[in-house]
Amino acid sequence: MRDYVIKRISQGILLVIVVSILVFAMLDLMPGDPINIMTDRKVSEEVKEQLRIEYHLNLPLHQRYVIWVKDMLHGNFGKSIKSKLPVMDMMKARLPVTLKLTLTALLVELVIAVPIGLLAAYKKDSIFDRIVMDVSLFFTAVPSYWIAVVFMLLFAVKLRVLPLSGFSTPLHYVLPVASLVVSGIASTIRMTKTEVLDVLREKYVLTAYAKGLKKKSVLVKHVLRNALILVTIMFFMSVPWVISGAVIIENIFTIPGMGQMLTSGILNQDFPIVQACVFILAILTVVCNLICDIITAVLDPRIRISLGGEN
Amino acid sequence: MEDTILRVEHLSVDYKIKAGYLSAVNDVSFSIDRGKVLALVGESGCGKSTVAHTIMRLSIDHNERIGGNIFFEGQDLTKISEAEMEKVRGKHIGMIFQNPLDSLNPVYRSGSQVAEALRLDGLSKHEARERVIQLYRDVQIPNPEERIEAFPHELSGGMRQRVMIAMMLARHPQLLIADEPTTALDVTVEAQVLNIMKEMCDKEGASVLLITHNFGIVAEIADRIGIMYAGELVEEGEVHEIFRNPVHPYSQALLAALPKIKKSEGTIQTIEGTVPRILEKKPECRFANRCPYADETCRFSSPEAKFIAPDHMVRCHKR
Ligand SMILES: Nc1ncnc2c1ncn2[C@@H]1O[C@H](COP(=O)(O)OP(=O)(O)O)[C@@H](O)[C@H]1O
Ligand code: SF4
Ligand SMILES: [Mg+2]
Repeated sequence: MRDYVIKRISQGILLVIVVSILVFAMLDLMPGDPINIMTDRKVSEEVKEQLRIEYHLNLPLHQRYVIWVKDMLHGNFGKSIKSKLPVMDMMKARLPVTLKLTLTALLVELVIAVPIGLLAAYKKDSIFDRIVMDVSLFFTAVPSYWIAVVFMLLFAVKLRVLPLSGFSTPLHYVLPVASLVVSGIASTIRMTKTEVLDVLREKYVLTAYAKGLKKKSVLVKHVLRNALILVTIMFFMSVPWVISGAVIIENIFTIPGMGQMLTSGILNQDFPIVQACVFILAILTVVCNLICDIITAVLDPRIRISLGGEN
Repeated sequence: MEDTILRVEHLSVDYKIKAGYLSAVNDVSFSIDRGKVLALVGESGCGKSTVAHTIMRLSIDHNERIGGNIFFEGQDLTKISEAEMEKVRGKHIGMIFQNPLDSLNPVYRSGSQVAEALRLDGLSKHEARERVIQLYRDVQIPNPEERIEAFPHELSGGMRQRVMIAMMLARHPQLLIADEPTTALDVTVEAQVLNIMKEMCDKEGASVLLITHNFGIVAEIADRIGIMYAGELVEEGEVHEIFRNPVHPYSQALLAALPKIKKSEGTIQTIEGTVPRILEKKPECRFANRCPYADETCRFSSPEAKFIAPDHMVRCHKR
């Protein structure tokens, strides 16, 4: 198990390095000169040259990459071209907001979706199942921003029960979280249902009934326990997706999270910000995959033991 | 004093499928006496597992339509509620399935899965553990203290099936249904596992409904044999009687083909054709298209079950 974890971590680090090179190189290929964007036309060429040197833009790509990585290892993501603030400080303020938003949304989603998916699978073809499937089909078809806007109009503008935008109180999180949940829940329900249906067809479920277990025990101890392995994988795999979904939601509700920072960074060609954001997203993805692999190994003895030893 | 533990009467099971209803079991009647072993044999697809699952009221697809009655210890299992059926399963009727790897939950230790059954009877964790170790000893699993901690995939097929036997006899049921318990096992292991099962059942005084392709097994441990074809029981009687004097053309073909029956496939090489899937019940003999004695009567009317001796049932126009 320990060897396995070490192996997965080194693979993860390798992946992060590759991604960082790609991110760095790709932004360099973006059209337009960031210095021209940040300065006025009146600014003289000398000053511009000065700025280029300050941002290391005069150096060749590979040297800039090395500098960037070195700085990053010292917790320095460079300075925003637009605001001149250190990117690291901005990130420190904004990443927690995004994580809070997305993790809350994911948890709420799971708590609602897993029982519904389980029940829909168990009562397959019942009225309950059909209603759930039809409604979820509808929600997979509508985009999250549409739901967000509808929620805003309904609860904030018309009923005035919830704040329209911002992030200062927990109440402010209700609509953004709800929008994220509603847009993601349909696919989670469907996936849970599919997985539970698969498990329900397993022979060991018949064994569980045959030895005399009650329906509820069979469902919880044997069906859900096994289906949860996939649900866990799903959960961690979807963290990066939900974060990308949060980009739009943050913009709609003007929540100053990383998503908003990323979009404005792209619009302003503020390359240090874009680099930092994409890089953080990449790391998050890798970390989630890693957690996912380890948890699966813990939950599934077939994997755990094939990895050698139980501890 | 009634000595019959299970009496199946005119059982029919149809599965709802896209094309309509598939008649998997039709008008099957038999009974099992206390402590006795009835073997059900027939090619794959004859409806043997369906009979077994229907008695236990187990279903994967929930697409069956059931007719007839199943009397177990006086109560009709087709009529009782699901809650009452939960009390019958495991406690009064145990069941072993064909593939011992699929039959155990891969994420739990084998011993804890047996203990789970015992805990239903109110045993404490500790008592259950002791009893599981004893059961493992009874089914001759070496090092029971260690093996109870093993996960199913760490055990061989034979060991897993022993765990199943331990689990299903743990609560002292009066009837054990064994659906091809050794088909997936090596020939050498097969005999051991069967002997263990038989010994355990004898010790418990449990009756057995044994589904198998293997006539060697039947000869060794069964008291009676029922031969199924295309969802119908075509002949039923005492094992020695039927082995000596098979009356139904299908039974005769089966026994004549004896050395040629492939264990894994359960098909019979010497009879042309395959088991038909009956989508529409028609007045005909279901064996007519493969039967050497078939004539017009056979194609246009269904033979009824009749007794050619007080204890020997056959379903054929010509006998
Ligand atoms: N749930 C089901 N739905 C539809 N058809 C089924 C179902 N289960 C079994 N069958 C069909 O019923 C017939 C009898 O199957 P089965 O009882 O498994 O036979 P056996 O155990 O003798 O091989 C087969 O044709 C099989 O394909
Ligand atoms: S009824 Fe006719 S077709 Fe059927 S087994 Fe008897 S002789 Fe053969
Ligand atoms: Mg079968």
